[in-house]
Amino acid sequence: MPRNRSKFPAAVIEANLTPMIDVTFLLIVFFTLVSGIADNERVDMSLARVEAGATAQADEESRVMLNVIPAANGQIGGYLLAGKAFDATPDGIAQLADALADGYRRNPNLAVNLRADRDTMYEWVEPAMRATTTAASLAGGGALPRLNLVVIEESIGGSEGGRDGS
Amino acid sequence: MARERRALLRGDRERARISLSITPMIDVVFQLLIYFLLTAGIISKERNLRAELPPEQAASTSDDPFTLDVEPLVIRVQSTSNGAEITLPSGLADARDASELERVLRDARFDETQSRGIFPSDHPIRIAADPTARWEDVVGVFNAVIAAGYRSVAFGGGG
Repeated sequence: MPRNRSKFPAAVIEANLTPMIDVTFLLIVFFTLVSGIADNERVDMSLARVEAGATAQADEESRVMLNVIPAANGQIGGYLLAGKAFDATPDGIAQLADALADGYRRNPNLAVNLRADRDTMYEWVEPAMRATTTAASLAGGGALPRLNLVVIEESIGGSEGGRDGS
Repeated sequence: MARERRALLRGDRERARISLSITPMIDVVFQLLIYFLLTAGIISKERNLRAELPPEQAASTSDDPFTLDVEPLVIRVQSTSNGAEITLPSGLADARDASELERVLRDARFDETQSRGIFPSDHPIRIAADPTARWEDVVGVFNAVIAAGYRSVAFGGGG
């Protein structure tokens, strides 16, 4: 005897994906915006490694990110301060010092986070440090050149990883 | 609302339709959990080493005319194919790498309790890196000097 299907309607099993899609789109928008901001501040590079950082971890304070943009063979492609690029020429470094001095005038307690690639030659990092001290004296008002060297804490003899995926 | 409450009290499950959908909340929680798990590893590796640079105007001369300038201890750094080459002033033991440098400098630090050592912890130290030195080697030396207990560390005078 055939079953009366009209008496027992077929059960419809379905997952309600709408809320998850809503959330996913919101997160995509959020990460797209945030990564855009982060890209302006950080340059992808292999930071210097230290076994164990000896200084106290810098406080969460007012800071600006100064990147030494790495290029091949320890050379550089300029400097990047808070998303603004400067040439690695005497003029470019003078402009960098002026830009940092503006920051010090706005906030004398400003800290500069210096990011440089582990293979970059010291001759290209030193001007960035010098620009920081020059900027502090240009700004006056008791501004002190406070510099934080951004490194990666890991075993140097270990893996060749540590590339900063920002 | 009151009708549903009365239905609930009567045990009438057909009419009582009060429910809390926690599915979206679970979705969000899992998404956030995955995000934090992925990003936590990257953040924890990065660290800021605080370097107090000497102000430009306050060069080697002291304001007090009766105070003698203290000659800084100069550490020279070069990079070779075998790694960093660290040169210390004569009178101090050789250091082949950053960990040896830390040990040598710690031994040379004046310790009041044990009456040994030469340099007080506030003795100025200058890292004179060669222009071609790798940044990682320079940072390694800086970190070793701080780890050895010295507080006044400056960069410059290399080449």
